[in-house]
Amino acid sequence: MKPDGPIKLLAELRDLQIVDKDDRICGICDDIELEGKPGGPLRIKALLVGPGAYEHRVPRWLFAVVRLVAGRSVTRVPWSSVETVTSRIRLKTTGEAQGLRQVEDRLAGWFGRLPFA
Amino acid sequence: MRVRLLLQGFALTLVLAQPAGAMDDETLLQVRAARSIAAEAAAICDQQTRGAITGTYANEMLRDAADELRDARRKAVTHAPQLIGVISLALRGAEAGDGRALHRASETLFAMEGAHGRAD
Amino acid sequence: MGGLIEITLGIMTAVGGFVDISELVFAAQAGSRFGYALIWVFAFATLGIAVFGEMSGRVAAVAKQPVFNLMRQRLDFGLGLFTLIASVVVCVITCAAEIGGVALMLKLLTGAPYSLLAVLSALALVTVIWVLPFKWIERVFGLLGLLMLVFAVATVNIHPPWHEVARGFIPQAPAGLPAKDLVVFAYFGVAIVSAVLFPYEVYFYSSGGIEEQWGPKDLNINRLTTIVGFGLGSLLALAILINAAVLFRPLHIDPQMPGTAALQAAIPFGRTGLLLALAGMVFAISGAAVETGLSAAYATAQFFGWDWGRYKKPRDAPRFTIAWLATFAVALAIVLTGVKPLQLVEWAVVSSIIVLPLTYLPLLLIANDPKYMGKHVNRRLTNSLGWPFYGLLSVAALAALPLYLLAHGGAL
Repeated sequence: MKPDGPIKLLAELRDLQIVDKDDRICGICDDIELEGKPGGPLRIKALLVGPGAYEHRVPRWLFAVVRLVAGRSVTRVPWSSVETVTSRIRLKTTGEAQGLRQVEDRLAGWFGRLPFA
Repeated sequence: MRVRLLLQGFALTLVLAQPAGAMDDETLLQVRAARSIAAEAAAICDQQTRGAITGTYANEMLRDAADELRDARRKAVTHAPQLIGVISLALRGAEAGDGRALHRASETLFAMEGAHGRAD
Repeated sequence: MGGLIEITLGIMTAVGGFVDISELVFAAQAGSRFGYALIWVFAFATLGIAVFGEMSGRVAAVAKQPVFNLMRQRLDFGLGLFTLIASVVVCVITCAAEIGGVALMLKLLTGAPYSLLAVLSALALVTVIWVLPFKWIERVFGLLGLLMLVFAVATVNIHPPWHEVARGFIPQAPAGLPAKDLVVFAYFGVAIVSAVLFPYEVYFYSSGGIEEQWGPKDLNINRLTTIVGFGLGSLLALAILINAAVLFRPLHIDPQMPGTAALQAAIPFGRTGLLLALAGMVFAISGAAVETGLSAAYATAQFFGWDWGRYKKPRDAPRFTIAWLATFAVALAIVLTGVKPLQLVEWAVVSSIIVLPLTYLPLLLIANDPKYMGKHVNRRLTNSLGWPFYGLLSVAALAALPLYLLAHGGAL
């Protein structure tokens, strides 16, 4: 499905896995940023990725646990970067170009020093 | 709330269903555990006599059985002193590799289970 | 020809990998305690794992979605996160039970200290996962676990009353049981269902399907592996139950020590039987330790959208790698506190069944959704088995904790 077709925001977009143009996993769409005024059309502005994006979806005490482990960051992925939405959200670019996969890439450098890694 | 009442009713039924003079649950638990360990250790001794198991397996199993029986005797001191004698017999049997003592202890404990023994 | 070899290896791996420490313990105690009366529960549970296993493999092959991706999409986020945390806790406890079980069996083989063997076992398992390709991780333990077939051969050798074994497949409770023993019988029923349907089986199986890049062309392999593989694997568990009924029950043994199960092979076959049984248990339980360790990492990585997979090198899925290393580290720490493997098995089994309904619901929903599955949605037979089974699982989940407490963990 192309991103300019009709989409059910909750059932068909939020919580979908995001992959980049090289098919690498880049996270999950944790929330959606919309733009528009009351009474006017709403448009998707960006996908929000990161623990800070789902903070309001869990009880405070539970998020306190999550924050200890994963932090509170949010990365905005502009809707214009999305190529298709099927059972996964596919980006037009690499994950790094959208500010995604930062932790993965940082840790990969560290792991690269170990044997058989 | 309803579930809690249901559970309490069920537990009460179990208590009322016990015949007079029955063993309490904690004692029955100790009797059953000690009986089985003694029986397992006795079976180990029997198979060792037959040459059906390795020395290492027999030694380790009997050592574990002795540890379990020591634990059981410690618990019996506070909760069920009537079991101390027979558990001590089983413990001596496990420490010495004495199959006959272990069989005797296991049979005694099985008889003590009485009405709570297995339905065959 | 290549396809036939793949199917055969897949089935054999499923057979050898079916029995873990919890099935070993509960099958032996079920047989010694209640004779053949719990055979039908094993058969029933095996049917359940075959149905849900096939479903999870099909969803992996067609929708390309592993279980914990579905969890977020189909459950409320908070509920999904709760399920994740609960599942990870269950996987860690189960992994600890398996590592403890491996160390115990090695101790019986070598006489070396238990704690040392626990550390060495954990290190060996971590090394195997780190170095070996995914397919061979599964196969090494699954195929070597086939040494457990000595239990099945022992069953034939000891000539059980086959008509009574057959009658055991009819749903029943032994006649004339006192109320307390009936509670214990019910607890064993719930525990056996939990042990056979451990969530990690489905997490690992579906994630493995994605790792191996299954597609619709692999649906037949999936069906055969789950139905034939799990079916034959459960026969191993039944062999342990039947052997216990014949050999242990008359001796008043309700195995309190997991190593006692090896006597089932020693009594008919002597030292050779004993060594095959112990070696088989080492590999089968090791396989389960690997599955539980990786399952915790699969669940976490899939829920949070991290790169995951053992097909990738550790540096290409670093957070996933850290997750399974951490699982093994915590599991080993639990073992080294001295808590007995038998106690860990009890906790794993009770906590697991509470989580089961939350695990299997998203699977049932997605498997029925044509948006994800196209023409490969659940057929009528699968749904007519899956939904009633799910209902019964939910009842068992509610009953598990009260039964555990009332039955004193099956020891009463």
